[in-house]
Amino acid sequence: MRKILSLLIVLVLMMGVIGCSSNNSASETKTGTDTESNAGTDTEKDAETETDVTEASAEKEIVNFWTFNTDFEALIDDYWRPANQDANFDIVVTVIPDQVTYMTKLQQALQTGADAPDLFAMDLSYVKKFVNTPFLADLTQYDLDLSEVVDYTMAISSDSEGAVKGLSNQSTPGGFYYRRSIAEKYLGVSEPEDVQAFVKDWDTFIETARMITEKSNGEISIVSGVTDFINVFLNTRDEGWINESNEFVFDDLLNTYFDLSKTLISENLTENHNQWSEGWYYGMSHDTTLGYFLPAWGHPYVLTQNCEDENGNSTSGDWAVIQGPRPYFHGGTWLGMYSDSAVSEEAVSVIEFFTLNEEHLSELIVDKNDLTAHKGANEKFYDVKSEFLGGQYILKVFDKMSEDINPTAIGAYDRDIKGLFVEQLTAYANGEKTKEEAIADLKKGVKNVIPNVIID
Amino acid sequence: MSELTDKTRLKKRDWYGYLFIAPFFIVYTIFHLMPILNTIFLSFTDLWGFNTEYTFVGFKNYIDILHNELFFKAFINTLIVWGMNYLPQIGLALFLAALFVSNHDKIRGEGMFKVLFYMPNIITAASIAILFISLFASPNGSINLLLVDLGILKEPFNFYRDVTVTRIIVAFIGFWMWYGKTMIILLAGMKGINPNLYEAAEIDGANNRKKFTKITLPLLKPILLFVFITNFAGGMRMFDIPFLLTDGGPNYAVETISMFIYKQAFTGSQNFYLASTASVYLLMFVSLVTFVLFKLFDDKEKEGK
Repeated sequence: MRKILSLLIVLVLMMGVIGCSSNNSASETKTGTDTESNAGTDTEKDAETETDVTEASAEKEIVNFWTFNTDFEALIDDYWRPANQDANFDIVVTVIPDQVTYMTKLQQALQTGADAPDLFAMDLSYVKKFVNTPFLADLTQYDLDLSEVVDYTMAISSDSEGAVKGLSNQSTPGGFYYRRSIAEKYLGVSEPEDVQAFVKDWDTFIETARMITEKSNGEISIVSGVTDFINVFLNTRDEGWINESNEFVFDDLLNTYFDLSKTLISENLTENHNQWSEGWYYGMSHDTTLGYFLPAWGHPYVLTQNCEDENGNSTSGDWAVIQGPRPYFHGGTWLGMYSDSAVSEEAVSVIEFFTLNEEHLSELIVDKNDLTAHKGANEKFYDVKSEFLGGQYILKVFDKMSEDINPTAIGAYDRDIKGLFVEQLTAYANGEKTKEEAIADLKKGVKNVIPNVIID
Repeated sequence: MSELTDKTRLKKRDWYGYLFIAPFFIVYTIFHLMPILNTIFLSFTDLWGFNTEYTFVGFKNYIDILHNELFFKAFINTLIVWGMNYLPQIGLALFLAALFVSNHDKIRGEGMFKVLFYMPNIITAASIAILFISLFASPNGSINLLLVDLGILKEPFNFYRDVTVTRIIVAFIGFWMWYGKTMIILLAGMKGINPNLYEAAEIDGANNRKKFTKITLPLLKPILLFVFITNFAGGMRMFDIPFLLTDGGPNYAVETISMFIYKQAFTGSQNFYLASTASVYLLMFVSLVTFVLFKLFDDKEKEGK
């Protein structure tokens, strides 16, 4: 009996060792195709995750693509593969699900050159950091037609010498999505132009907030929490956190944000949920919140996915979007290519497919109702109505907004400083410290992260 | 003649011995020693971010970091949270171990109790963090709902925005995770004490308390020292729980020195030189405390003899 038991334990332990040894490079690896078409020189699945399968004798070349969520993986499976079945290469996707881990891994891979991906996605919050390094290839060196690209998306991914280091497949102007039924009940109107009058500037916004909370006896709030405004303020400043002389800048706009948050929280006009928290999502399928500050992609990727409650009732069709108190933009994903990639022609063709191919982008618009970064593709769909938004022509509305976007505030350390800022904002709004203390602590935090920054 | 052959025979035997222990030393040198030396080396440079070049700055970093408020805060936070974690932990572990020893054979399911006490140590930090985040969430976390229902609180309390409460929660998690292990070690130590000593004491009329303080504790000194040192070294490196729970918040209340080092090295502008300097300070601090303690205990033993 004991012998059998010890034998079993040995087998189990061996399984553990064997199982662990097949994941060596990235934390999560998914291969999108059948294994037969990628035989190459090695028949084991492990070989597909390595970047050095570029021998001409291999059946297909491999383009390694790193990203931080499953969006691009789905795009590759649903759009690129069907359209490129006879391409001489395949894309192997690696998803590293956490932005911080992803950023760290990408930085290390590019810096050391070991296992560096050929293509990778970069989020707005750190794209500038990578754009300013020599590790990204300059896409203007390739024969690409960049004339129809939405200007601000290229401005963000260009470095100081005018080289374009990345292209985006999305334009992300932001608006205020509101519930028509709730607006009708508490504001008396539900059409976009009429509701806009109630949120046309911050003072009116606060008045409307008070009115809604009072009329509903505290059951309904105008927004879920004060972090909803994060992108409205941070992305539209005239100056970013660090200016050219390496000084820290606390834009006056942020004072407005501080005051707004303090008023909203101290008078209990919101549910005090943080963006992307469970409580924040709750209002999308229930009647607790008038609206959300989300960008063009908020509607296909956030609201549509979360509009059904546990009983199957959906709020679809009950929404509409307006500019809100201030034009802004939120997020975006850029595709970049490693400057030392061995498969650069193939990788560039993938970037071209996702960001410049009008046919694909048109398909994307039809399927997802999202706004692309290609003016030509967007224009074709200006007269498409969105059912989710009660029949609004959202592409026209949003595309117009993206012309006004001024991305000068975007910087390399946005992600890091944003976290510090939100902490101080929350502390001040909840009454834990005075505004002077909050700003002073923010400056100390920034100095800790960037030791050579100049702070007055 | 025979001397020479003896020496050569010995040399051959030694050679095998060295061969057997070589793998450990090789692996240790490559993966443990060299990174440590590299870190110490980096602390004398100004390497950061994407740069591959650096310059030597001597002891500048060591002086500069002393002006960094957050560095000190992190150090003190770590000590405070560790203290709140360790004192109850050693108390409870001693108590339970004493209970097990003195009531040996009288407790039913003694093995099962030991397993239950040890279990929190096996759960991963990530799972525990998720559990405690949702337990103490505001306004709809389980604890809040319970306390409001029972009428103890009038409205939900935002636990994770209170400095003291967050520290207590982190300390509690550490205590809960490690008291079982400490108890097992102390138990092993107690079993090594000769029961005849207790019998002799009983004959002399000692009660339980006297037996514990005059026999058990003094004889446990080496084990207590071991437990303290390992707990201290591990506790000063606490990272996973405060990081996953509130990322150091609120207002850096539970930002430990490990978190400080990690954030310096891998986020923001990636100041490897600052992270290395902080690491060296941590190393020196823990070594100093350990050294002092060993000296103290050693002297006491010598005095006793």
